[in-house]
Amino acid sequence: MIRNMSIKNKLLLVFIILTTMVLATAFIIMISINIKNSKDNIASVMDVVGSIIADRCAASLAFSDVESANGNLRTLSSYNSVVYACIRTRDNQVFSEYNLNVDQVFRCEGFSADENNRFRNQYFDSFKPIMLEGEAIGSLQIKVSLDAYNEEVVGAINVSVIVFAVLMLISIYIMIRITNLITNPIASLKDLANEVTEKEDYSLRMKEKADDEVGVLITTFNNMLEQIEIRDRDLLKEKENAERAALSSKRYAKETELINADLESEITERVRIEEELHQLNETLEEKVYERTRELKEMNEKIGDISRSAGMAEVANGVLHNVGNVLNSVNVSASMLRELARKTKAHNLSRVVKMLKENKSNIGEYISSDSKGKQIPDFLSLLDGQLDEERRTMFKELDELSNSIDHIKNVVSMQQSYAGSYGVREQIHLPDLVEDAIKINMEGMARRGIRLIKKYEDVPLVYLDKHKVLQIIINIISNAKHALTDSDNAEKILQLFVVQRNKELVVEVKDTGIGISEEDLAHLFEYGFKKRRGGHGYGLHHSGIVANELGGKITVESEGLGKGAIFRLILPVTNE
Amino acid sequence: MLMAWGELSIAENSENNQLKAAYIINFARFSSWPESALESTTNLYMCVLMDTELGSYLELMANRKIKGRDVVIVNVEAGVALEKCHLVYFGKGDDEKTQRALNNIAGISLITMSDISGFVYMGGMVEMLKQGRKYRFIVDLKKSEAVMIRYRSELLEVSEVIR
Repeated sequence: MIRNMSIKNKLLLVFIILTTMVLATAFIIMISINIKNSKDNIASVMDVVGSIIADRCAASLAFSDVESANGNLRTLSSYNSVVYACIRTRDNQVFSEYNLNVDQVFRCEGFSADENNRFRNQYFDSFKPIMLEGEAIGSLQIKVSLDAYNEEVVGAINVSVIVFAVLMLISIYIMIRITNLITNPIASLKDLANEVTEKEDYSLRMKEKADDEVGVLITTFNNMLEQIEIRDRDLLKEKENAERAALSSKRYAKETELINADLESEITERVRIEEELHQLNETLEEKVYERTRELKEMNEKIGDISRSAGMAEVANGVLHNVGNVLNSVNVSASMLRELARKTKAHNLSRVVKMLKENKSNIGEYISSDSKGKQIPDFLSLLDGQLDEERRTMFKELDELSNSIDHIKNVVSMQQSYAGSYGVREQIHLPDLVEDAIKINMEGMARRGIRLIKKYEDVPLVYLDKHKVLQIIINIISNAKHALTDSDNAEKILQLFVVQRNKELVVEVKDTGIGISEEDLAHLFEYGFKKRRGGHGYGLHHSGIVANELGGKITVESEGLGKGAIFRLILPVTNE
Repeated sequence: MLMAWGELSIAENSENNQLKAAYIINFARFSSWPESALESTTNLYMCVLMDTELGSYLELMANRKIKGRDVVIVNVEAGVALEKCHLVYFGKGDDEKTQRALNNIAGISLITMSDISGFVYMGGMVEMLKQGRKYRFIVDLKKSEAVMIRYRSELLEVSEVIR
């Protein structure tokens, strides 16, 4: 019950209980002290009175003067509460008596040589010995009625009760005032809290201020409401944002579905392209093999013709040049096969599978699931990779196509070279050099060969493009091999195209194994070879062709391990 | 009959002397002497002049100290020096001897007491007046104060005081 009382009533109850206890205790103590003091007072007074009377009665008793003794006892009549007094002799005879009220009969106690006081029933008896020269010659008894004393006590109690009641009323009044001071702010705070709860209005504030703990509570409560108001606003904003996000998630999910559909078809397309590429690769290999076989046959024929017509070098040269290009073709084909094998397109199947599994809640899957959330980033990455693969494949295909074209041209060129002059056309030497580089590009980076090119602005020349190309291819190929075989840490291949007067020079400088002085003299001889796997007629053939073009090939080397410089010098012709 | 009457008189006399002795002893208890009268001795001398019977009763009752002093009852004959006495009781007898004795001890700090009628007018200090079965004292306060004899007020309350 107390628990459910208001703080105000609890405080009042505490105050009232405490005040009652304190006041009651104080009054009880006071009344007790009062009663004791009154009794002590009676005893004290009677003690003195008794002593005086006893003293005065000594002579009366000694000289048996009853009248004198009676006169002494009669002086006790001035004390209204003394109702009886008597003197007994040493022989226990009643010598003198005094009785306030003759209707009341009292008994004179026996002689006693000792002082004695006692409260008995409604009376107080004081006993005093009557002494003469240290000898008790009689005893005096004084009996005091306690009626007056009781009345006094009752009166004191009544007054105390009235005072107690008045003090309680005053205390209660003061307590109520003080309690109100304490609890009113708390009650106001409670009302405000209720209002805030009911109306959900967090803009309300408590206006009362105080400097005590309640004041701190009010300030804190106001701050709390402010915080709640701010957070409530933020929550609303977040809710709106979340709703908007949910909407866009739905849209996103839809778009994702569409993207997925596109992805699926693209994946299917890529898979198809891969298969085509794969087939193309195989077809290409077959074609290359077939072409190679044809070339071989042709070469044999050319070889026959060369041998018979002294053009064996040409056939060998063709083989060598075509062989170089075929290497590139093989490499490109291998790369394409490798790309096809390592393509990341198969990862798409896993993604498609995951999306299909979560088709029904694709939006939530992508936005909430730990794996689903990674799909967009993964697809983006995959897209990049597949794009890169496609670019690489197309690049390889381009090179492959160029190589095949070159093979065709080489073969055509050689065919025409075997029976007739080559087609002369205006050529830009730097372009040819670039073509030759492309053909020889395979493996350069892998071998750590750094390529440095520098082309001057040279005029167009009127030459057999393919012959020139052959020579440049051969020289670059040799330089590449020299660098590959070299132990030098720096493998640099430098290509320059410069004009010197009426000549154009294509310079190929390498930091490869170099050429000894002894070998320099035999370099252009037919069959001379230093490289394992070489045929010994590349340079020989190139030299011949260079001569036919009206130019020449020169070579310089400072010795083994010191690289070499090959120069193709061609005349500047405008016809 | 005369014998019986005589025996009755003896008994009465005896009782009377007992009472007288008691009164005298008690009177002494309510009296005080100057230091000069007490310093030369540790006793309190009560002298009885011309009444040996009373003296013997006094001896019987003088078993308690008075003023912390042993009470010594001295029966004296007339003409004997009474300066050492603190209280002199004059028995009924020769008035001339009584007067002469009173004259001799005038100025001495002692109590003179007697049941002689008019004793206080003879120069005595305390006269015992019999009233029924008790005695009453007639005290000449002036004479007492002249020799520095003091009495307690209670005694004076039960006495007739002459100033």
